[in-house]
Amino acid sequence: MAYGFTGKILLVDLTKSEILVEMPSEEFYRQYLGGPGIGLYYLLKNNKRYIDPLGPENTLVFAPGLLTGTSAPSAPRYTVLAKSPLTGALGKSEAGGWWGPELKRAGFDAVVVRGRAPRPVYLWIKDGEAEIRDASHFWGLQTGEVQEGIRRELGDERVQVAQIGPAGEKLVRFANICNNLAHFNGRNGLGAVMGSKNLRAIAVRGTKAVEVKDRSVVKEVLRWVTEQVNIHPLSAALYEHGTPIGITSNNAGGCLPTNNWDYGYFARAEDIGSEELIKNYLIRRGNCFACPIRCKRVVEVKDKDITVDSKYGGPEYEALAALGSNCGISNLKLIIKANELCNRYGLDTISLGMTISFAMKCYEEGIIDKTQTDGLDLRFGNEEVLLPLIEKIANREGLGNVLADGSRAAAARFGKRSEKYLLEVKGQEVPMHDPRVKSGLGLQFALAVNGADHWFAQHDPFFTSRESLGVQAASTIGLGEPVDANDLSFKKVRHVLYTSYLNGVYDMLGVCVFGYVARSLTPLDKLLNLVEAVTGWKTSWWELLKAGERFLAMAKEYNVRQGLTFSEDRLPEKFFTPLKGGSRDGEPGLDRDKFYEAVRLFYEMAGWEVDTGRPAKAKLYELGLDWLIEI
Amino acid sequence: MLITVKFHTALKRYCPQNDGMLQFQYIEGLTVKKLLEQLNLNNGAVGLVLVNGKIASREIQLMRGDYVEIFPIFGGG
Repeated sequence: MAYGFTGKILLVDLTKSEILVEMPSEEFYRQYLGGPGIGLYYLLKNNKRYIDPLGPENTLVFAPGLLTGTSAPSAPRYTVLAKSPLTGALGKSEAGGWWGPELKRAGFDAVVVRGRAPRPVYLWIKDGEAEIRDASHFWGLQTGEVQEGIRRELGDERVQVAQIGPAGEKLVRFANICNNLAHFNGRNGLGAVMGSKNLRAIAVRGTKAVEVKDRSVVKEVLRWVTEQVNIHPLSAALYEHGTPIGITSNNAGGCLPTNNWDYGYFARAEDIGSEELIKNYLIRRGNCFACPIRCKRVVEVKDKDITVDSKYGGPEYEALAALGSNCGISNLKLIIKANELCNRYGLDTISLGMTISFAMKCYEEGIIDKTQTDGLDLRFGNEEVLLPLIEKIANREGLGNVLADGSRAAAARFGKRSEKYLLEVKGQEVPMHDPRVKSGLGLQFALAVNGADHWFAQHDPFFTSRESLGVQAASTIGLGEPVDANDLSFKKVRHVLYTSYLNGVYDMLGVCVFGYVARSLTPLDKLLNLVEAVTGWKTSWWELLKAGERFLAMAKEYNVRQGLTFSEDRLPEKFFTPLKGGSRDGEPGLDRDKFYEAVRLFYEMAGWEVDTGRPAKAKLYELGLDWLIEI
Repeated sequence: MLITVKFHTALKRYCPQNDGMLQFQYIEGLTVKKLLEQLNLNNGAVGLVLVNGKIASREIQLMRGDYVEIFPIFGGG
């Protein structure tokens, strides 16, 4: 009897129109847990070296976490993995919402998609059965229309739909995947991989509860979280303000990305902050499956000039900063509309905002002019250009066709040394967090296997003093000593290493970083209780963190096989220069030498070889990954 | 001279006044850390503290007439 997992993996070959089911052993689940552990197993087994990310040979995996689908609190997540068309490295992106739990209830732990359908299709999975269906009539439609259309066609309003939008169909290299129209596997351009396979959506309906060994423990933890959620300062703030709270906090700290990161201070930040959002546009707080925190924003606008449909959710901090301050735009209503438009078309708001701000910077520096911008006046702060640019990118028209390949490709097209204005790692545009005020975040950006990622590890501010919530909560896994936010010694490296394992475990279990320490309330001992109660295994944080380390070693090995080297674990030059504007004006950037020493030390601590970039043979043996050793 | 404290966004719930502003009498030897303790805010909820618009460490001594702003901790949005 399987508890927590269903024991079945769905294998779909779109070229051959073939569907198979694989049933791995319990040992397999104990090694790889779920999410990116299972996903990487199939990527490494299936993928040859140096594959074309938009070719039929790119394996695409959808994998919920081990706890996903049970009533364990804040564990709704699933990971999508494939080779990324934006970075050429591992593509890996998580989403909450409702789709992951539904897949488990439908009887599958993962869907592995290979090949390319000859015409547009969608996959329909219901209670252990799957079929490939025609999607020609959905091709070209926005996400809202397609979700409605699929539900109508299948005659069930409770069908969960993970899908791409028109941007994914057009192979925009930062196209995302959404579920329930408002939850996103946002990063790495995995929507374009679906588009390249002519796979518009995966619709799922499951009616069977996921088996759990000891329901009473799970219920008890859920009860505890529900009681504490409005008391604990972090979860209470997530409910009340959501992630948009970061706008005013970061601005006060002189680290709110403004005008393509030229400044860390935006004079009109309060206009786009969480309080304005709540006052003027928020209609309710949304949630994910079995999560009492409710950190999601649901907004609505019904004005003459702009309307925003609440079914597309609302903006997170990342979208507000990337499309707002980062582009010099302070019109909150317009940013909310831009966010909704991204959700209709299926675009990652971070890469989109950063690619637009890069074009604005090139325009202001005279690298491009109106002959290259379709006549648009791309000054920072010009509200007129935001919505037209999103339409152009989603439809690959004019300048939009250049920007649709991401900022690095745009720099190659613009020439004239425009690359110095780029802010990307491995081709992925950086999220809205400044490494100059937290060095561990810089290590995350540089080392993340999937390009600049702000959840590769935990964030420095939660671990800086004895009172810090992270220090109090994570001492049991060796993180009980405070480390200064700007420290770049071995202590910081160890911190990033351990918490990268921890975040790997979170993804493998399907738990959300906004539900668990250090960013939220649920402590590690309760998470361990949940794993034991759900699976019936007697386990430990030692075993779980080893699984996190295993995931990371597999991801690293995958990247080496796709041609990535140590030299790509780097940061944009901007982060080695002083901050400008606001309360940290003139403070120095990261020390370049110390930073790269720390990157090298991370490799050595992790058991990775600097010259080849791959996990050492002994490390692969230790982690039970001997099948990855090549003679 | 009074010390003024402004509670921002999610920290307003810890302020006895609805508007998030609090004024109180200067006490000799008051540091940022002691101030946060007095406000029951040594619970990890505070990220950034500005004193008269400048970033202040927890050890900084407060002066008469200081304007203190406190912001919630943030990371990974």
